[in-house]
This record gives sequence, C-alpha cells and structure tokens, in this order.
Amino acid sequence: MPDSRIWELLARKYNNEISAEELSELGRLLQQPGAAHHLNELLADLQAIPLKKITSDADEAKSRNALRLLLNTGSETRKTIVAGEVRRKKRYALWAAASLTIIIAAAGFMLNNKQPETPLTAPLNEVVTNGGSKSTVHLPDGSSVILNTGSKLSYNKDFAAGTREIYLSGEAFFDIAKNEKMPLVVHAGDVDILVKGTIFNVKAYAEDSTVEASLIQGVIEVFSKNDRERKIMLRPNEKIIIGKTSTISSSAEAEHSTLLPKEAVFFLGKIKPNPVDSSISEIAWIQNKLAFYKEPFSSLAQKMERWYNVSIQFNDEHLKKFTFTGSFEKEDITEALNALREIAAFEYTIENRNVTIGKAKKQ
Amino acid sequence: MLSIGKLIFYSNYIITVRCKTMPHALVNIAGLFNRMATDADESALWDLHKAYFHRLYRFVYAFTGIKETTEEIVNDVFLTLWQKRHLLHNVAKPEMYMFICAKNNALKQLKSQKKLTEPLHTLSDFDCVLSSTPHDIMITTELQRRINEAIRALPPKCKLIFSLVKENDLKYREVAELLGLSEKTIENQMGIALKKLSQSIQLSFSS
Repeated sequence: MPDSRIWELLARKYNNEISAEELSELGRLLQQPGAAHHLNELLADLQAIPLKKITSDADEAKSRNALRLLLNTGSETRKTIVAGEVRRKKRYALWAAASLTIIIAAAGFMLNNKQPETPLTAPLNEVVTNGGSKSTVHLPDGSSVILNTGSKLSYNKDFAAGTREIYLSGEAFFDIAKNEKMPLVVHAGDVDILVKGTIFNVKAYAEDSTVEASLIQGVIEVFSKNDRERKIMLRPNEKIIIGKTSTISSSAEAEHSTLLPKEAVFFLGKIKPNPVDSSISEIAWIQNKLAFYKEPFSSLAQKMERWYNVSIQFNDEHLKKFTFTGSFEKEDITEALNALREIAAFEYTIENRNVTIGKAKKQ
Repeated sequence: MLSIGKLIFYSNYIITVRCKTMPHALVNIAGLFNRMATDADESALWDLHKAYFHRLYRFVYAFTGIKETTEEIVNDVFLTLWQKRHLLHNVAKPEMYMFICAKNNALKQLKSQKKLTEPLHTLSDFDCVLSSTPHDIMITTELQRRINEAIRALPPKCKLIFSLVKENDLKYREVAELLGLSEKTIENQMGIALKKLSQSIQLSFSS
C-alpha cells in the first residue's frame, strides 16, 4: 500500500480540497491496523490551533503608525525608500510624460484642423482619436479615461482645482477617482452625467441617434440637458439609452426602435454579458474586441465602420433588421463579413474603404 | 473557536470534519477592498492591516530574513493598496492579491541587494509554532511541544508552504501560483509536513 498516497489525501483533506471519491478512498486506506483514527483527530486539531504570531502587538502598532504617517504626508518624507517605490515613481513620471505628449499632439492637431468649438470659454485640454486608434488619458485627479476611436475628450486646464468637468463626443470608458467634495460631470451630447467615483462607459457619437451610459461600478446620476428636473440614478450593471429628441422624431427608422419606443426619451436596461464568453459588449472595445449581443445589423454596421475605419452602405433595407451575437478580435473586415455571412444570407463588395451590402443572389 | 460539528460519520468510518479555524474568516476582504475602492473608507484599510499585518510579515520575512526590511516592505504593501484603492474592485482574489504584492515587493528588494539567486532556495528560517491557546482538544502540552519541534525542523520551503496553507484561506493551486511551484509540489510538501508532524507524536501507518 503506497504510504505517500495516504499523506497526499490527508494533505488535501487538511485544506478542505478533497473530493467525495478521494474521501472514501482515504477511508478505505485508513482501514488498516495503526493509529489512523487518532491521526484524523490530530489533523483536525492541527487545523484548529492557530499559528503563533511572530510579530507582537507593538510591532503591529509601529507599522500602523508608520503607515498613518505615510498616508498623511505622502511618501516623500520617508527616509528610506524601498527600491520598488523608486521605480514606481519613475514609471508614473513616464506615464505622465506620455499622456502629456498625447495632449500636446492632440492640441496641435486641433489647431491645424480647426475643429468645431466646444461650448466653453475656459482654456481646454483636448485629446482626439482618429482612424482606428485608441488612447488612455490620465487626468490630474488620478482618474483615467480610455478613449475609443473617432472620439474627442476635453477638460478644463484647471481640472480638479475647483470643479471636475469633462466634455465627450464619441465613446470613452471612465475610471473616476473618488472625491465626494468635488463631483465630476461628463457632458455628452444632450446628456450630463454626475459621478463621485465610479467606473462606467459612455457612448455619444455625434452621428448616433442615442447616447448610452453603462455603469460597471458605483453610482451615477444622469440628467438630460433639456429637462434638468428629470434625473435618473443608475446602479451597477445598468445602462441607460437616451434618445436624442431631434433625431428620434425625424428618423423614420430609429436605431433602437425595438428597444426604444418612439415617445420615450429614456430607456433603462441591464448590461447583459454575452453567454458565450461572458464578455460585456458595452466595454469589449477596451480589450480590442468588437462585441455585439442581439445587435441589429444597422447598428452593428455603424460599429464596424468605426472599428475598421470604413463606410458601409446597405442596398436593401430589409437586411438592416438581421440581428447578430458574437465578437471580433483579430479578424479583418473581410473575415468579419464572411463570418456574418455564415449566419445570414447577404452579399458584399468592398471598394477602397467603401463596403456595400446587398441581398444574396438566389442560387 | 471550534466551529461546525465535530464528528460526522462517513461510511462506517469516523472522519473528523472541522473548519480550519481562521480568525480571518470573519474578515471579508473583498468587502474591505470594496469599501476602500468605492467609499475611500480608511477604516477598511486599518481592518485589513489588523487582519493581515502579521501574516504578510511572516511571509515576507521568509524571503528577506531582516526585520527592518520586512517592516518596510509590508508597510509598502498597505500603502500601495491605499494609493491604488480605486483599482481594487477589479480584484478577483483579494487575499492572493495581497500576497502577490508582498512577494513582488520582497523580490524587488532582494534584486536591489543583488541577492536574487533562487529566492525559494535561500529562504530564511522563520519562527513557526502553534499558539498556546487552550483548546478542548486531544493535543496536550507535551504533544504540542513535540509538534512545535517538528515544525521547527521542517525544511524552510516546506515550512513556508505549511504556514501559508495553515494560516490563510489559500487553495493549494493558489499557493502554487504564488510561489511559482506546481500544485503537485505543494501537495507533496504538505504531505511531508503532516507526516513529519504525525511522526513526532509517534503516529504512523506502518505497524
């Protein structure tokens, strides 16, 4: 009888990692002369007695005081700095420099291209992403924002000095540092979003008929600019789709017509992870994924336009109503369209960066 | 401290089932992380410090062997947790996260002192004995003395694994990941530890 097997099983049992089969195997193995019965008792008792601390209460208090001092005064006052700390500071500096470069580059780009003015008179920092690129912006208050392609983010030069206000056109993922005293406001299209410290995604492309906010963590309050009285509070895993009043009334086939009754301006929904890989389609773009869940072809095509930096036309209105679930990661536009063609019957042609989608020819 | 029913009859064999007494089981680390991340609640940091200071200390000391360095590294773990608190709600395994932070800090320190050869082969001998809390159990003072001697005599790596498993809510898989060893190695080492401890009180299968 292999002695080591018993010890292996006992070890597993010791850490409550033993399966029912292994437990009965252990039971059988222990049915032999010896002190097996006592052994079980011993192991249980061994589990029950804690290890003696190697530090005293005084050590603990000393550490607490040192830590309190570090928290209050910042790490500069430390006489001795752990090696890792120094490296970390350097890395922060590098990040700061990198994001500064992006801001400067973006500012330069803005000057050359004479982009439309934002509704602000105070000097602004602006970050713009174009042609399939993404950018991470580190704000002075410790918040970070990932900007999706084709988007523009701007904030006051004196951001976090008295107020925290961000203007967004396009899509961004926000990880906002908590500050109860200074709430942060994201202005996106007709919508203002008030936050105190949360993680959420906002999609507000000028050409879309809706503004979407998806909350991952914390609480946000959503206001419509037209109706300041109306305030909607979002809880984690909820999303809100706000129809732009002008587009909704004028557009014959509103993009989310199935989700969004014409008379409603707000639509509140749940963030649904994709059952296949539990990815959340609202924020999949951060991981370089284009994910979609029961998405109509019309809005998927819009996403693909941004994703692949192409323009997509439909020859047949009927095709827009197809719905798809899935995600693209490394696929190019041809592979993506071919994959979609596996599910639904349509033909496509690509010329330069123009994609035309039409009805499948009858065989 | 003894939780759960003491005895459960399993087939016709008596198997004692008891939860590992884990004072920290009362501490909901994920909850503390969340309070730090969403509410910037400093009291959560102190609760965490209270529950984990001595455990991280033992772990880090095994690598460094120097009291002052260990203190600094452990303080730095808590400082970093606080400074990066807004990232903490994404942490899937909070306990692992703290130990991995502690290990990384310790290895960086060793590297800066050019001591980094094979950290697991140059572990320092650290004190590891059972506490003398009185229990309504079979282990008498004499037995406990013998067990403590056996723990002391364990090779450093085996002792580190034993203390990590015993003191924390870590699975063998997690301890393996933390130390860069295979799960099989962890189980083997735990088997060796239990065998040595049992032998110390003259319990054996070979009759």
